[in-house]
Amino acid sequence: MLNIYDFINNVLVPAIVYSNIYALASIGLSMTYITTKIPSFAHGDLAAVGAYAAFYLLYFLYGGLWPGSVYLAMPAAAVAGAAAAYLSYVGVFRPLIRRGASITVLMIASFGLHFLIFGVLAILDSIAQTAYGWNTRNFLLAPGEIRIPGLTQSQVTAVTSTIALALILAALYYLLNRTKFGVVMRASIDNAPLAKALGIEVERVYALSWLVIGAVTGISGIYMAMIFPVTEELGWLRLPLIFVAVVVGGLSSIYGGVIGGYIVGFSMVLGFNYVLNPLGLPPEYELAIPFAIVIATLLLAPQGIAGLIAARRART
Amino acid sequence: MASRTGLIVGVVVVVVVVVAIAALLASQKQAPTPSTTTPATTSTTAQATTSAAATTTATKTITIGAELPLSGSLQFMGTSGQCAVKLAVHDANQMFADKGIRFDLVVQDSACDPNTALQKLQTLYSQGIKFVVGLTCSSELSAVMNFAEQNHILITSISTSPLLAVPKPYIFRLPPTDDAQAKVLVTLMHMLGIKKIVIVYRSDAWGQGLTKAIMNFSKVYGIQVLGAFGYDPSPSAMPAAEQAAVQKASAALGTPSPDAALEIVSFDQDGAAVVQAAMNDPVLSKVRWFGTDSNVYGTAIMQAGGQALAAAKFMGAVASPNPNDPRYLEFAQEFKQYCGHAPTGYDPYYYDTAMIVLKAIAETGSTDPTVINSVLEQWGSNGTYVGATGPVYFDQYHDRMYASYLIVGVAIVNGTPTWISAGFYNGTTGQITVFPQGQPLFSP
Amino acid sequence: MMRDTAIKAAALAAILAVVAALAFLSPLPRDVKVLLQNLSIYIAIYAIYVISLNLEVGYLGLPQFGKVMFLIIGAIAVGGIATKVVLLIYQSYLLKSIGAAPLSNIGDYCMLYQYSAGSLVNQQLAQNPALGFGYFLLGVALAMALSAALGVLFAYPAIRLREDYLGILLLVSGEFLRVVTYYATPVACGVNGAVIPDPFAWASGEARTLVFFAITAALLVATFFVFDIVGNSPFGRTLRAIRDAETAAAVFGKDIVKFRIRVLALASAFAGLAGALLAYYFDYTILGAFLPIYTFIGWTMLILGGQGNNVGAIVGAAAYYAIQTLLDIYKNALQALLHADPTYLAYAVFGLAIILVLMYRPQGMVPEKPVKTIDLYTIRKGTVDKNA
Repeated sequence: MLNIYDFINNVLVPAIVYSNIYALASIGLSMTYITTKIPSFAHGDLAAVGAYAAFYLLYFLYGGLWPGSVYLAMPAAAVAGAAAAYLSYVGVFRPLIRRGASITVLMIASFGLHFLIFGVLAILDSIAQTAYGWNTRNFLLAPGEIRIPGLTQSQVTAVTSTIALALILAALYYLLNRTKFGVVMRASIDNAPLAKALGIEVERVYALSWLVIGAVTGISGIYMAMIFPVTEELGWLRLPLIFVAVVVGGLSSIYGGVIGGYIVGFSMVLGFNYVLNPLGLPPEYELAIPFAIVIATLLLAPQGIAGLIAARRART
Repeated sequence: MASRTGLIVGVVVVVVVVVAIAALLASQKQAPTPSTTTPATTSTTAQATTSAAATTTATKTITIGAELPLSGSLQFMGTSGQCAVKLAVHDANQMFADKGIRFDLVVQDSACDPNTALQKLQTLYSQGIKFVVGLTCSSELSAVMNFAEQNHILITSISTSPLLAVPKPYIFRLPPTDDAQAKVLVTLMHMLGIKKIVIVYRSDAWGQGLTKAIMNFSKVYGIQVLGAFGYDPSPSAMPAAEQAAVQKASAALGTPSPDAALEIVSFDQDGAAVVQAAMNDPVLSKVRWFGTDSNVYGTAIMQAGGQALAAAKFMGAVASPNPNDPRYLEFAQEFKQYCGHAPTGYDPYYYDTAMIVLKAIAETGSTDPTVINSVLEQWGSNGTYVGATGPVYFDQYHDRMYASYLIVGVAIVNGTPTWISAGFYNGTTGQITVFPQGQPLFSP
Repeated sequence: MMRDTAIKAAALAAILAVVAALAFLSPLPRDVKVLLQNLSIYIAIYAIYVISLNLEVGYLGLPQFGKVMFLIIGAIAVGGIATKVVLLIYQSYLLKSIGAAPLSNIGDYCMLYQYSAGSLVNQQLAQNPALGFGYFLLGVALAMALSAALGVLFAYPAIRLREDYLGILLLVSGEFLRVVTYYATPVACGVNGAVIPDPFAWASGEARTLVFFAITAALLVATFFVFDIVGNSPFGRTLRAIRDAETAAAVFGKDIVKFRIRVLALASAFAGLAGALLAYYFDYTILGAFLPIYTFIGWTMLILGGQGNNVGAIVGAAAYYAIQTLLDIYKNALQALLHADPTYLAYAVFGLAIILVLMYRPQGMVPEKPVKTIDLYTIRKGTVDKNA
């Protein structure tokens, strides 16, 4: 009984929504990895910062959410995410890199940073909750999504998140390929010593790229918050899957993360509907599906999907 | 011999750390405790501090501990529960100020991880804290049981797992075990002429336990359970799991009929996803729905599908005193004022985990856990303590018993779906009384 | 060189003895002693865990982000297998007392009468210390064997994959193992968690803690001895060579695959040991609790202490617990300075503390020392000179 309407609603729409969320979150992590070589454990917290920034802006200005309001608050999410990311780089990672810290040290520092951001956010939430009586945890931003008559909430989110992803990708493409900053940044990524020798201030370029990372990830937090209940761990709880998306996509390219996000999103929903259910496996195993797919991908294509594409391109 | 220095550094660090902790703790112990005037709770309790400080000069400060899941998968219960526990301390400080007793609260995050729970309990114990309230997960309780018994730490918990209905000195559980709730739900279904049900449940210790209990009691009344479908409640999973469980339940039920029903064994937030899926389902949207003590009064579930809940005549049961008793409503009002949102699920139980201990300490004037343990046992057999969840009776395992339940349902009041008290289940007689405003919910 | 390791191991044993004296015999208040006793057990168990991680990370450069897998295996070996063996031994007794054989219906056992069965088994084990010890050894041996086997399984991807991909593969495998074993009730009672009979039921109260501490401490010294020998032997030098210059090491005829397999087997076995000890210590285990954070905690201890040496691993475990415990105890005093929720304030300060330690000691508290024995370069130079 293949019903096209059911298929769209139960499979396609959720798959697109999840994919977009993981893709948006992955772009930032890929960039982090490409520029400063840090697989940052604090990445998810940037998304939480973004979601909370939007929430607080709307509550302070309007005392609540109304349809469409999250788009008004989106700049706030981007700014807050960018600020948090910039401070992370300038305050924590740059000094450590200057002191010759290895990747593992940077990674553990990012683990510490996660606790720091988590703690600070949670303190703010507790204060806001007691001071203003707002429910600062376990809420959804979904009521702030625009309404389109005839479409369900998730259908609308599927459309808007796709548009957001496309716009962000286009902006990134323009930034990296059509602006001076982009050229400088790509040079710094490809060959930092050479870039330095040519008089490029690599550290400044990295600092700016962290701003971009934070802004994109902050916006991803808004979409996460429409689907998953918001707590300070909004991004942290999704971090393993974000890492999965980045790696499956291949760590070498920003756009790989988008492919990875789509693989994660679709593998979860499709695996759930067409693997677990027909096999009669309990739905509790849903998380095992994307994990199994990643394990298989890495064993078969050790360089990730982007690596495969690159290899094919090299061959032809 | 280059690593000599490393070795020396290592030795020094380890020894210094051990000695420092020991020395600091020992010195803290010798210092007189009343000197600590710091409020243990956030600025909101400043009121309590000042009132307590004003009344008496020789105030005796007693510190109690709380272990709550303030991070991790049950954070939403912990943060809300923390407020309920703080409220209890706040109330107790007002109630017992004239006795010259002041309560302080130290909260630790157990993250619903049994390993962390035990470690934090040991830390609390080393600070001289002998009363710990609010333990949430049954896995945490399992991990700390032996330590609490050996070191005489009095623990109150909101775990409901029937598995822990075993002798457990020094540990008291405020909510009734899930067996009691299952009995009420099945009695309610039987009364409404339900003959077959499907269950959608969150697959954790609580959900599985309650589901199993419902299935067992269903046999007594000849109600057929056509299937029970779990979903992974961990927040890293995707909400689509609830939807899939609902779809399976729908397929198991086949066709809607007046004697069929859906039982939703969920909390508030995940319940919202279940409701959203069920209201769009062609089969399940046409049968009655039942809930649990953890999703009735929920804000998320109401937001997700209030109209659908009312249409499905959604009802659940919450352990409660006689509804004419204003205590719960009073608590709910106070909670809302203090914490900023209406109490959900276990908040009144969290409140009572703290209040029953604080009251026992204040009224006996004893801070010996062994004394309080026997006081609670005695109170538990007489029903002396009456809290936000009604009179508290404990059985031989220190578990709440003789529970009366309020049947709570959703009805349209002035055009908006609202939680209403629909009936009352009397724990001693096993009878359900229907309230006038609940009549429509009980009609076919 | 062997002598050097022996001295260090003896020093470690001496420190542990001092800690034991302080925690069990000193005139400190009882509640402080209880904290010290249990804290030293955690530190000892985690030290074993981190020492084994150090071999993989510090000596081989393997991005072991699936370390928690071996805690899971340890928990399964003890809570899932050894426990069932004991239940089998006492089956007829349990059948008589409760009227049900636990193994005939695992689902009911897990959900209904684990505790009754557990306390009955404990009463029996209390009268039979030898059986209890045998059961302890069984759990430990199983944990080590199964972990070693699982570790070797990762040798294949470890060769094929680039470092970062390998790290993620291990991370994801850990989550995969957790999800799959957690929801399979027969493994270790799934969402209810498994009650584990106490192998030292004959000792009670503080005596039980002392016995457990003594055994854990002995195992820590043994672990330290084994790993220090391995780290400073020609084997260890080869490992460092592989870490620092893989191709060069291969060129010099080192069979990298074989080395990796051995390292993975050894390190995994001891991480499994740590997992088994944790399970026995808590008398209870629930597999769902083993989130990746247990891996990150191990890494944090390693980096704080300083990777590449075993002393650093122990110092790191001690430092981690010291920071955490001090924060837990003094967070209310902290709150007096900054009016904020003390629990979350403690998290923020904890994160800050990690960052600050790394900022001022990026090499860790105990930095890696240059190789003490004649290194490859010198040997090679020697041969070259001879040839010349």
